[in-house]
Amino acid sequence: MTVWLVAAGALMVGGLVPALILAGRGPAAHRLLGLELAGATGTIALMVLCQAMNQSSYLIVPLVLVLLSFAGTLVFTRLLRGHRG
Amino acid sequence: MVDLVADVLLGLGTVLAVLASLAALRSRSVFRRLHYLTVLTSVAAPLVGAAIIVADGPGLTGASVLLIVVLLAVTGPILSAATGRLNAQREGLVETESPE
Repeated sequence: MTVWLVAAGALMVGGLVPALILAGRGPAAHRLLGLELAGATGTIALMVLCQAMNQSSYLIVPLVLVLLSFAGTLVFTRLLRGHRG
Repeated sequence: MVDLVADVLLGLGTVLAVLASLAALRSRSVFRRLHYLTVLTSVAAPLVGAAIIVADGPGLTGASVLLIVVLLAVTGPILSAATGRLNAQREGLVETESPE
């Protein structure tokens, strides 16, 4: 097991799990922050996984995730503005 | 030597990312959590990106990683501002309408 795989595992367990817990509890506007954290941590974990598997063509996945996470979160902030709960 | 530098950068970035996520989970205030998101996008991601670039050397992989890291660093503060403003509006700290 390479150091890259260990780092990817640590990022998924120590980074993604807290983000998903944050995204699953509390009011909607607070949960949105968990979604942002999950997007950022997921992007970093995917970059490390690409390096661990030595497949640079897979880097398109974290690239698309950054862009979709950005647009998606902005849409959520817009939709949640008039929503209570 | 190059591998050692890459490993140190990767370790620093990973530890920072994990600590920032755990600290965000532990924090009570949503506005304080925004600061931990900034640590993730502006410090941890560039460190991990630098580790990959150092390990791989200059090339297409490095350029792709650089693009991802720059996008993450640019979009992070915008998302933080949007989320912070949404939460401030919902808690009555700022006016609901956007400034003209």
